[in-house]
Amino acid sequence: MSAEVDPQGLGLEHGDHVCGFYYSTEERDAMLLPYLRESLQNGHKCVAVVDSLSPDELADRVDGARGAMASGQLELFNSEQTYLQTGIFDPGLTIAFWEHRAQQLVDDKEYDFIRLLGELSWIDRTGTPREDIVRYESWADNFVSRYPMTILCLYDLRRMGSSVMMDLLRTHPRLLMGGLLLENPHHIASDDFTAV
Amino acid sequence: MTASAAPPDTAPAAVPETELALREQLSNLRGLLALSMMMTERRQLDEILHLATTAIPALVRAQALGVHLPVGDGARWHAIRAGLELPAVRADVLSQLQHLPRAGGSLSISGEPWAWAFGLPSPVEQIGTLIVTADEAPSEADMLLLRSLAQQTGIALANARLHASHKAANEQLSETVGELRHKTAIHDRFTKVALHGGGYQGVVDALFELTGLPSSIEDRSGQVIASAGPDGTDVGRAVFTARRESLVQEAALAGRPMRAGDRLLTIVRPHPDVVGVLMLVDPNNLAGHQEEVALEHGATVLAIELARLHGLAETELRLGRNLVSDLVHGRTDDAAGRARALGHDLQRPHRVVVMSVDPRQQTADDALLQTREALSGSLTARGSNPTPLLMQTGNTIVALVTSKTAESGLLPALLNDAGRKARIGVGGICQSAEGFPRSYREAQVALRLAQTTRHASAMLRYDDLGVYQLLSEVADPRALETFVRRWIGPLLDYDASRDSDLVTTLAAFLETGGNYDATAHALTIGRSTVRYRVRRIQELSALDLSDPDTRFQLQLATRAWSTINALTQD
Repeated sequence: MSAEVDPQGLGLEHGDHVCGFYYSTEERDAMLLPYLRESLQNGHKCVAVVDSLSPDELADRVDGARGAMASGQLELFNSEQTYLQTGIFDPGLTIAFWEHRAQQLVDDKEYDFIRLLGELSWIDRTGTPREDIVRYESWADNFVSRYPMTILCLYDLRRMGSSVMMDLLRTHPRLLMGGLLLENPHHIASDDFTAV
Repeated sequence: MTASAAPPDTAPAAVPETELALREQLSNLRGLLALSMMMTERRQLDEILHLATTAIPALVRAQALGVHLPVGDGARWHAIRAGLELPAVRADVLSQLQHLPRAGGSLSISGEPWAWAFGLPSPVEQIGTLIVTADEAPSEADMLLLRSLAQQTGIALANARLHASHKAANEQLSETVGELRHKTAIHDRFTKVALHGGGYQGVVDALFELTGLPSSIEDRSGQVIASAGPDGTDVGRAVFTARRESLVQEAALAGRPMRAGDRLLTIVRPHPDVVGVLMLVDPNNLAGHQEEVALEHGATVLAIELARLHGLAETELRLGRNLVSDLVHGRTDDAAGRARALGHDLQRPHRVVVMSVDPRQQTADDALLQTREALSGSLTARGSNPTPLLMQTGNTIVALVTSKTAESGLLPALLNDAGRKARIGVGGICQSAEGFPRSYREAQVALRLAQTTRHASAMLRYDDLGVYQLLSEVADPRALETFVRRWIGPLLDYDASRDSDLVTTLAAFLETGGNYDATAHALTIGRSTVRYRVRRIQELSALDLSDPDTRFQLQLATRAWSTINALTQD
C-alpha cells in the first residue's frame, strides 16, 4: 500500500475497489472530497461521476479542481453522461465507457495512477434491479485489478435503503461506511450470490 | 502506466453448496454487523427504521410490513407498507400484539401467507414491534437473522432516544450554565459597584453596560437622580400614562420588574419613606429574562445604597437632634465642634424657631420630614449640604436656623403647608452657643402668644412682640401677677369657678378697640354673646370700660396675663 494513495488512513490500497455508503450529505462529503483532493495533490488522474450534486458544484468545493479540469487531470461527469446514457442503467454501456476510458489513459501514459469515483444514487429513481448493481460492482472488482487504480463507488442510503448495501457487503471483501472500512472475509462471488 | 492482462476466460471451480450457504450466512451476519453500526450512528428514529426495514429483503425472502412503537413517541406506526394501510387491519394486529410475549410471535394478517411480530428490545424496555411478512415461513437460519436484526434495531432506537435525552439534558445544562455565567457576571459587576461605593451612578452605569439599554434612577416624585446611556445620552424623566404614585404602588406589589410604557422598571424601597425607581429605557421591547435579572441585581445594590444613605441621614439627624437638645438646654460642651461636624458654624447668628403643628392637618412626623426637606433644600441651594438642626418634642418642632433663613420666606411657606392651626414662634438672635437657651425660651413665648392671643398672626417673632416682650422680661413676675390681679382678678376668679371665658372676651374686645362685631368674629361667637359678656365684665369688675385710662390698664392687664401664661406653660 502506498501512503500516497491513502493519506486519510482509510485502508485503501492500489487495486482497491471500495463501496462507500452514506446517510447524510456530511457523510458523503467525508468520503468524496478527501478522495478527490488527495488525487489532485498526488498528481493522480481522476475521473468522477457524481449524481447527488452537479460536477460544477463539486468543482467549486475542491481547491484546484478548475485548474485540474483545464489540464485534463480531473474529469467530472454526471450520471446521464455515463451510467444513464439511455435513460436507464445499461451495465454494458457503462462498462464500455469505463473500459474505453481506462485503456485511453493507459495508452496516453500521462499518469501513473488513476482514481475513479462513481456515485450510484440514481438506483431508486431508475428502478434498477439489485442484481444488476451487484454484477456491475463485481465487474469493477475485476476491472480495478487490471489497471493501476482505485475505485470508490458511493451509495446514498437515504434514497435506496440498505438492501444494496447488504448485497454488496456479502459479495465484496471491503466496504467503506462513512470513514470506516469494513472487511468481509466470507464474501461470496457475485455469480454465486445471484444464483442463491 | 500499463494494464494488467485480463484473467483467462476459464470457468471457476464450483463452490460446494454447504460452504456457499455457510459463507452466505456469515456474510449476512457481517452485513448485520455493518447495518447495526450504521443504525447506531443514526440519531433519527425514522432513519433507523428505514435502514432496518429496507435491509430485510436483502437478508431473507421476506419484507417489513411496518413497525409499531407504543412507547416514548406515542403509539405510532412507522414504515407501513401495503397490507397494513387499513386502520382495521392495524387495529387487528394491535389486538394480536397484546396477547403475544415480548419477544413476539406469529400473526394472522389477511392476505399474508406468513406474518411474524419481532419485539424490538432494549436494555431497559420493549421499544416496539417489527412486523415481517413472507410468502412462506423463513428457515431457522433466516429467523435468526430477523431476530438479530430486531435486536439491533431495538438497541439503535434506544441509543437514539438516550442520545436525544442526553442532548436535551446537555442543552438544558448548557443553557443553565450560560444563565449562571451571565448571572455571575451581573453579580460580579454589581458587587464591584457596591464594594467601590459606586453610588447611584455606578448602578446605572453597570446596568447600561450589562444590558446595552439606557438606564436611570428616579425618586418617588420622578426626579432623575442618575442616568446612563450611549455617549452620555440624557435619558430624561419617565412619562407614564398611569399616575406615578399608583404605578409605584403596583410595581412594589409586583415584587419584580414590570413594564410601563417604554420602561422596564422596578421599585426599590429599603425603608417606608425611601423609594427609588430603577428603570431600563426599552422602547423596542428588547429586554428579556437576562435584562430583568440585571435589573433585579441593580435594585438590590440600589437598595443597599439607599439604605446606607438613609442610615447616614438618620444618624446625622439623630446627632443634629441631640445637638439641638443640648444647645437649647444650655449644654454647650463641644457644641461648636459637633455643629461643625454636621456642617454648621455656630459663630454665625442663629435663631431658635419653634413650630406647633395642627394634628388634624399633619402629624408631627410629617411636619418634621417637611421641615427637614425645606431646610435641606434651603441649605443645598446655598451651596452647602449640612444636616438641618432639628428636634421634635411632642407636637412641636424645634429648629436652629441662621438669622438669614429665619428672615427669608421659608418659615411662612412652612406655616402655609402645615395647616390652619399651626403656629411658629421665632426666638431672638443668638451670636454664640450660650444664647440658644434664651432664644429657645423667647421662641416658646412667641409661639404661645401666637397660639393664645386671638388677634396675633400665625407666626410671631419675639423681637416684634412689643409690650409682650417688655412684660416677659420683667425681672419679678410676681409684680406682674399683682398688677393682673388688681385689674382683672374678679374676672379670673369668675372664669375659674364657672369655666367661662370673660378674660379672653375682654382681651379680644379691647384688642379690637371695643368693636362688638370684630370681637364676635375673633372669638367665633355671636354678637349678642359678646354684648352679654361685656355687660357681665362691667358688673363683676365695677369698671367703666368707656374710660380711656381704664381701658388702657385693662388691656395691659390682659396682655400681662397672656405673657404670664406664655411664660409659665411647659
